[in-house]
Amino acid sequence: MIPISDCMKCKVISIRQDATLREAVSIVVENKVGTLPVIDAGGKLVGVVKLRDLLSLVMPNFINFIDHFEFVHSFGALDLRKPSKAELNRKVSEIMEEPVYAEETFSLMHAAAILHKNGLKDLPVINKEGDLIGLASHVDIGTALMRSWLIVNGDSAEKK
Amino acid sequence: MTAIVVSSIIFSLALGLIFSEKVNRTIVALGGAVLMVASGMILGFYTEEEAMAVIDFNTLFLLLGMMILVGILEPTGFFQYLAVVVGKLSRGKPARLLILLGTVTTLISMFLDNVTTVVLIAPVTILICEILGMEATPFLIALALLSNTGGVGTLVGDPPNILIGSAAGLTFNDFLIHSLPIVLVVWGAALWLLLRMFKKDFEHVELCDPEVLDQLNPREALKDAKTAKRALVVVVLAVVAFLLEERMHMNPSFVALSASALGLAWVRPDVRKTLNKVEWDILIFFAALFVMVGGLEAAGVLDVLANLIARASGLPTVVMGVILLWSVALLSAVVDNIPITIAIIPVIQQLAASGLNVAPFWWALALGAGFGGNGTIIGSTANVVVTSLSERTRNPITPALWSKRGLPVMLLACGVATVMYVFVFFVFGF
Repeated sequence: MIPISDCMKCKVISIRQDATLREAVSIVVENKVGTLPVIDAGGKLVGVVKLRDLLSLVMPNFINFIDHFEFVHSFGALDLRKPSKAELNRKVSEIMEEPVYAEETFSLMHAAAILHKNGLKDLPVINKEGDLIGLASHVDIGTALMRSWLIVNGDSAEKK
Repeated sequence: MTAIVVSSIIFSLALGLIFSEKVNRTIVALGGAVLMVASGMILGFYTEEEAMAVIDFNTLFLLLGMMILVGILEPTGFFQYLAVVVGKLSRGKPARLLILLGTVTTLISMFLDNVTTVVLIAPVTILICEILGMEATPFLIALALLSNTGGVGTLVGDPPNILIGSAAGLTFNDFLIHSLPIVLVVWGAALWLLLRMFKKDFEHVELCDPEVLDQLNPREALKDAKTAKRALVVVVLAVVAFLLEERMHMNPSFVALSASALGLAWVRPDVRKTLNKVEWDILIFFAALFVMVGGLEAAGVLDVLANLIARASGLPTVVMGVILLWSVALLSAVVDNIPITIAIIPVIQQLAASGLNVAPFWWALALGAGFGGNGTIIGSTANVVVTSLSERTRNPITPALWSKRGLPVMLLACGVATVMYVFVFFVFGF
């Protein structure tokens, strides 16, 4: 069994829970990441802010009601919509979601199942103390898992 | 005496619970109906057979038939199509958009259920407002208020009208003759007030170039033109049949069920999906309320009430009518107008039995129940629905905002309706 800690990135870009949304946006933009783990002062994982959550600050409301909007050929004023200053000054802790995470000892399949079940792209990894120690994307986990498929039966290390 | 006390307590508790909105109203009504029948059987004032007989199936089947028709028409995207067409006609002018969307909503809600109308028009309203860069809230409030107001004009426009029509034997045409003219004047006044109140909101917006509306293609919003055409033909046939119902000796419920049968046979939709659109909770709510109020009647509560009113009937009929209109309106603003109507109908029937001319009272009840619902966020189902839609956007409608915009409309509507009522009473008679 390969633990998730073997494929995760150890240098995690994260944000403190008392930071503002503006800071979160700037970190996301600079580093081009889709998931920001949120930590407290002690480095413990307390939440997650996703690119999707930040984008939803300006998402059109009508898409909640109209499933097929092919008849809309121009988004007009929506194309210029930005969050207000007050919205960007809100604290990360106000919009962050409960974290879905893996412990460092979880197997790749275990981690892949968590991602699959929750429809996520990235999975924060914590140690026994709850400290954030890494982040694994579904590409990291998926490719690490599939590598074993390429080993022809009988050659695999596990059979021994 | 025990019967009167027990049945009154059950009914008041149920009304209170419905008002508190802590428990779903259908569950409350069903529980209340069961309690009423059970205590009736124990105390000997009400039987199971009586409870079954008191359910007004004319009302239930008329509602069911209309709901099935809506269920066939809704998935075709026809309502979306209409809203997009009038949205384009507005050329991006807020006041004009409000008038156009309000008119379409009102016209539809005269024939179809208010809630359905609002639910179908509101999404495109939000879309158009967002594309133009304005707040959708004033429009959503206006849609609910205008559809409540317009629905009073026809027999099938509003559930209280269906109830009153069925109980008093009033036809589709009776409503067109007596109610619609009053409603037209009241509706105009309501629209005027709405435009006045929202004037400031409209002046301060910086609108996006209205040409973006040209990029909306209504034909693409209409998902199934063929089905839409067929469903509309059936709706038109139903309206014609409503107009002829007296001459052809048909009940409105028979017309509505025939129309839905024709629609289902012609369109052949997935029946389960279509029937899923029927608001069964509303139908069960109605049936349970009938059973509960039947218990009140059997226990003699309504006799007592009617006697009290009859004793006070030294007053001229028109004054009693106006008092009824306003009391029903104020009650309907805080409690659902359907239980109010179901409870007052037998009282008026009792008054009729005592020899009073009750025709003016039926219209007072219809006007009060219809316009009173505008007053608060919980006054009518359309208000509740628009509010819950707005909660899925970033600008939810608050009870305070509703009181600021809806309450004046309700007061003006009832005021104008009173004047019209008195006018019609003396000039034409009901």
